[in-house]
Amino acid sequence: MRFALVATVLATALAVASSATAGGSAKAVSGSRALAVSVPADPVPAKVGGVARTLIRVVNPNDFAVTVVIRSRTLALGDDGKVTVGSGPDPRWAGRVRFPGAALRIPAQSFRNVPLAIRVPHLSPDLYFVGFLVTPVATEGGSIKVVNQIGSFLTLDVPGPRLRLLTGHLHLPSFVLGSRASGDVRVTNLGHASVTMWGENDTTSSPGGVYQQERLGPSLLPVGRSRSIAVTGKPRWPVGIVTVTTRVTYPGRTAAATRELVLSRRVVVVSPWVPGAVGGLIGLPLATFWWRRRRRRSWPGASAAHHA
Amino acid sequence: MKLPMANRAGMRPRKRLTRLALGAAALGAALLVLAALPAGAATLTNLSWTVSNNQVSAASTSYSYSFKTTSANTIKSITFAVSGAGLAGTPTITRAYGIGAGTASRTGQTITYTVATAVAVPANIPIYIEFGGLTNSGTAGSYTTTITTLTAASGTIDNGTTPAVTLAANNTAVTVNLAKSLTFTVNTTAFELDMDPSLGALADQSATVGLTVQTNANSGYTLSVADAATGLQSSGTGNPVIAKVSTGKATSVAWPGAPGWGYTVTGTGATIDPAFSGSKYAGYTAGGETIATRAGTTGGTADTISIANRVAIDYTSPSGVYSDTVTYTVTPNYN
Repeated sequence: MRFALVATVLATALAVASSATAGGSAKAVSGSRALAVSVPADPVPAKVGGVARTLIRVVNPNDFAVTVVIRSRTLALGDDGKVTVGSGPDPRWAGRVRFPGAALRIPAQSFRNVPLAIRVPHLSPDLYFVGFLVTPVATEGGSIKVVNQIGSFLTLDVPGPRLRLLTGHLHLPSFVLGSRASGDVRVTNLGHASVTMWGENDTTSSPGGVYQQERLGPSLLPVGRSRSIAVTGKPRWPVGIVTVTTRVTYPGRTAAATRELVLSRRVVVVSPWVPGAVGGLIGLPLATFWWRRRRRRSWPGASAAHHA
Repeated sequence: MKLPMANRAGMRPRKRLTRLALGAAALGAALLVLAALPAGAATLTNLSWTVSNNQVSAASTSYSYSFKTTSANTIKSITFAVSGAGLAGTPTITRAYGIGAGTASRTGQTITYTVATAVAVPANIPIYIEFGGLTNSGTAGSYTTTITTLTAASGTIDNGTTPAVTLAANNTAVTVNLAKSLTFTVNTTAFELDMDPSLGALADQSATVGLTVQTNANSGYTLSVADAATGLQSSGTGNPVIAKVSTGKATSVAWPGAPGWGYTVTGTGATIDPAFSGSKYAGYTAGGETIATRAGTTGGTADTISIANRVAIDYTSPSGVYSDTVTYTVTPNYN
């Protein structure tokens, strides 16, 4: 950013004039820049002591060439799938994976496949993540530079039996004044290996409800991490008991067997207008009775006739 | 010879009792036979079978079955008897819905899914089971699978046969690998603010940086921002800085006025951090902070995120050229 703090009146006037033409807005000194990074969707099989071969693709969709650097980075896997790229190289993969040392020039509207050979150390069977950062080299002028970089990761799958264990809690109220019961299931990986889980939310309601099965696609849960799954159930009538059952299924020691986590809860759901309607049904006759009684008392003729 | 009337009358209730007992026994036996007979099994509905690769002898093939139960009963196992010969491989369970956890095994042409704990399944429940790790028969032809649900006593509950799947030797197997991709665009890679403390319009200015993110990552992405450790700093004597409006998003504030350097975020598609609600501003941090996330794929429409960078100065700000580098990092989430 340039601060043109001018000392002379003339310079100030020039600055004012300049802002008038620019509308007082910032001056972009360079245009847009797009960048894309692609990695294999599935984990790369990796044998302990062997070399896993894969590639990353850096795409330049711009009408001009872009120069990028690719560097190893640590990864912090958070809850609910969140990933944060660290500021330094990952020591686990130091010397085991070699990213391009020099900057890569990618021609306009083109891409570069960057092959990687990863030497797999002695690791227990699990999924492992190799993080990296693709950063465009800023060449533009301007005092405030804006860099759009992409962090990403490769997933390695070291095969073998694993100790997997999930736990979970279903958070649903017992009573809902509304049209539906809504809550979530919090699933946590307490095992010693990452888990790819899937599942279903089964809801039934009484009286007269229909069984509904909502399938949950596969999602990854690293060790010690949690994931929330939204659950919801709706009664057929304005008042009903909704039973929400969440089944989370995941592989056991091997993929030939599965384990499951079953969480269930019953919720009484009452539509908001029901209390009003019930109140009206009770209140209306009472009000009518009270009004008639009051009217009868306040009618002197009737009272006199009665007393006569 | 005539029997005395009193004796005949005494025998009538005994006869009735005998007839009733015989009738009940016959009814019970009939019910038992009906329950045990496979012929009484109902037919599964909505059966389907797909294979991930229909080349003969193809290894690592997935077989996906789906069907709906017809009878309400307690299922202990489900068998999938593939017609013909030559099925091989050790099945794994890739996915199973509508049925409890279990184990998969194969004997000859029959894959068996055994439920760990027999589960009561009502009628009309959709069940989907996908097996991996199978090897197709080496003989080209048309194959079907007979699916049978069984009780713990191996009594048939429901059964049915899937439509045919053709395994061929002379077709072309098509495999499309769709990479996990993310595109990140910034609409300006550098900007300048020409500022002057003598006029309000020049002393307080903003520059908006537009970002777009598009990804097919199922769990979406995380967008974070950081600036240089030195902040908005002048190269002049003493390296003066324009102070940040806050130490980060946790202490975001309504715009405090001059002197200050901060940003606020708005966007569509992405979930913007609540620290920026109500046009609150935060100071950049060198370590970086998450400003926007998305929990699912963006689909065909890119998310747009606007970052309004704002600088306000007064006469306490030494003149000079101040510079900083703002880095936006977007990372696909794991799923």
